[in-house]
Amino acid sequence: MELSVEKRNDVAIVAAGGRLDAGGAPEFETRCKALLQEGAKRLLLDLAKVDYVSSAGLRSLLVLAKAVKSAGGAMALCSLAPAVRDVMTISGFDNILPLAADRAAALDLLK
Amino acid sequence: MIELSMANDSADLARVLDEIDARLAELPVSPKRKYAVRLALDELLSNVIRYAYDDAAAHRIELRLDPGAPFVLTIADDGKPFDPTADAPPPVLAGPVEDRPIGGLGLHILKQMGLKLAYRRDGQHNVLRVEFPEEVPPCRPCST
Repeated sequence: MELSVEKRNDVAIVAAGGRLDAGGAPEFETRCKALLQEGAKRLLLDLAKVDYVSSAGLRSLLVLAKAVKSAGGAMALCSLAPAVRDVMTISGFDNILPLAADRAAALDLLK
Repeated sequence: MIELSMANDSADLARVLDEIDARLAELPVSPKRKYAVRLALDELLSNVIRYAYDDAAAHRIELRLDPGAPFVLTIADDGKPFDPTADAPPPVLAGPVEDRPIGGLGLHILKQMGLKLAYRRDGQHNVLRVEFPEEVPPCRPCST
């Protein structure tokens, strides 16, 4: 899993690439949790380069969403590939996590 | 026909997923179906590896993928009887984030993608047949 982090004010932007599955999700989750522990209140996950999400990836996203919520923060996802978006929608994640078209739209949602 | 055998561990599952990807790349299979095949193998075999065995011994899991029409995947394992079409609890798809249970979505996603699962117990084996939905529109000579 490719991961890069950029901070804009108190929003941590995590750009992920590859597969968010049993192989990639643990590293992704650990990295994002570390950002929350370092004080990031708002998390923007840019999944443009993620081409595959399995239930293991959904598990990590849900763990992060719960952590963000209990810390009083906010989290949004952006730039999902159509197949990835389908999996999110089928799983009912689109009504607990905002799925924005691009980074600018996601940053607006996190304001 | 693609036939593979794997051990009941996650490292061998990763090998098999990559090998199936490589084999499907040689066939006229749409990206959507490739995603569904990886997801079906990933979710169903992860369940077998995690839940089918009470011992620490190595077991073989047999896979067969018939890329014809219908496009069918068959998984056979010698684990304890488990019918994923009947024994899985229903998923929770609504409600606030704090009330969503962690897990339990794999089979739900496969069914929603239109995959038809049929289970039978054959002697000491669980045999799961997975039929993929017909491609619409059909993938006629995939030039790209």
